[in-house]
Amino acid sequence: MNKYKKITLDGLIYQNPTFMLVLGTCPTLGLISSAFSSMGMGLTVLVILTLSNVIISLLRKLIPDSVRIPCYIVIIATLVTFARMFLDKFLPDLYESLGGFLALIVVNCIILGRAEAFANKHTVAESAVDGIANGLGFTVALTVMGIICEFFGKGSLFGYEIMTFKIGMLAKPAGAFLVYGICIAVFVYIIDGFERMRRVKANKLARENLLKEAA
Amino acid sequence: MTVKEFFKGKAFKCIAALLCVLLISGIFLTIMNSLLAVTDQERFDRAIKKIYGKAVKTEAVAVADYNSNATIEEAYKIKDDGNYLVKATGKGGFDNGTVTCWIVVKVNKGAVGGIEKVVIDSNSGQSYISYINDKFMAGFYGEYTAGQYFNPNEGFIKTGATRSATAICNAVNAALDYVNALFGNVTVDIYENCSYIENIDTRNTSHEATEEQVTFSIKTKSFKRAGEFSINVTVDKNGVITAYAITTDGSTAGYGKNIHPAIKDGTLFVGKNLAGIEAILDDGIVYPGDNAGTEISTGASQSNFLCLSAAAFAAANYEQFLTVEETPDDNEEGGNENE
Repeated sequence: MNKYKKITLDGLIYQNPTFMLVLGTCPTLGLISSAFSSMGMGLTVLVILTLSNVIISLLRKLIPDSVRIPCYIVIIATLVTFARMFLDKFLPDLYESLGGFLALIVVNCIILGRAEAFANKHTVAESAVDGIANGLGFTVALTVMGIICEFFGKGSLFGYEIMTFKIGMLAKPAGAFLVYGICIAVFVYIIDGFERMRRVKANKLARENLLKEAA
Repeated sequence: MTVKEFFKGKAFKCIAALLCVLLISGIFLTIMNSLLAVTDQERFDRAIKKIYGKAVKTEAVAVADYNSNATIEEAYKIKDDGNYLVKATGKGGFDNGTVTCWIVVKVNKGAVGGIEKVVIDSNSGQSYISYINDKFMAGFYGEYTAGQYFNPNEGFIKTGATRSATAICNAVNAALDYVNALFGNVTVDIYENCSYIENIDTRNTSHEATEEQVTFSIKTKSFKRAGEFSINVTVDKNGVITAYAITTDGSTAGYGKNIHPAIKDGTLFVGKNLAGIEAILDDGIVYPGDNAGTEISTGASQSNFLCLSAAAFAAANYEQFLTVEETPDDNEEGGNENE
């Protein structure tokens, strides 16, 4: 398999940071009561993750091993501060809706995790693809859960009221926790189903080949 | 280790790498800050856009406070329609926090005509502020009658964030007081010069008096975690409390049951005059005091204290509100003097 395709599928599905690795749960639980906030948080993380992966990959041969973590933190903190300034200037509504969670991206496990596990061992292009894939995986997961929580918890979608029926608990972190758990279960069940189908198909193919050889 | 060895060593490389990253980050953020900094004017324009949906011409007006429950931060006259835009910070929110709001006060024929719009600007420590919705804010809109005050417990939809709603109401009331004062209609607070008013919401307190007694309908302010109480206290002409009833229990959910029974039913105060109430205050057995917890510290000390404050307020100030009937003798005496 093409290595870029593998990196992309890993980030999006097989090592999805939210559903498979259960990383970055703090903003996930805090923000998924609103689809707009969760998508905004996902996209912000996507940009920061991609940039930090690229910068860390560029500097991987210059930064000594013993100070790599402090350097990564400084780089990520700089990018997060830049993102805060940018959002405050150009997207104030999103800036307000993300609140304190925006500053907390500095300590988001996904970003530091990808820097340590991937970017400091791979090329700039590979790291960029990894950042985009993981960021997209995080964004899609958050947005899907945000839509579910906002729809059932507030009866609205991206702020537009759709129905009067609502289950208030789902618009709160406790409800978000419940939705998060259900989403993980469904996601793993689907992935597991595909894997099983793939294995059955491979076994069938192997059996046919054996029979052909025997004949 | 020689200097040469140090500069060739791993430690130096580490220090240099870290310093370089810090330096480059610092320079980058300095440049970005100068490019992306949001000015006060921009923030103000954003607030205006949020309220009006477009840019409007404004003229700054000098600020002044006429209401102790809120602070007026900024005020502008809207040139387009003559209304006033007031930024006020209301006190009395959850955990003694505040809510800052932009309030558009409608002006009609040189007087306050009502509230046109209320928009939340910021808050401090109001965890449930998201419960405040447009339906709640709509409770402020409409025609204004002179002397009108908003109270979150009366006529408003329940939000689930009563304390934050109280702070918003305080901000709106302060904005009304402020614009009224601009037109020369300063609202007179009859309890302004009374004693023991630190914990009393004097704007929402009233009384009925006869020759024999004064019955106060007292609204307390919030105190730390305890919310506002509404308490009716009757004081007779001798300064003795004859009736005490809590009509609205403002204690934080779950703490109301911890209020001391003798405070809850008023028996601690009935039969006592100011000296008796002050003795309880001085003992510090309610709140606060060094020996708090000895007698009636119950797990709802802040609520107990507010109830005690209401009793102290009534007992200390009843005299000036007692109705004095003019007797025929007085007139006769006056007549004699003239003769």
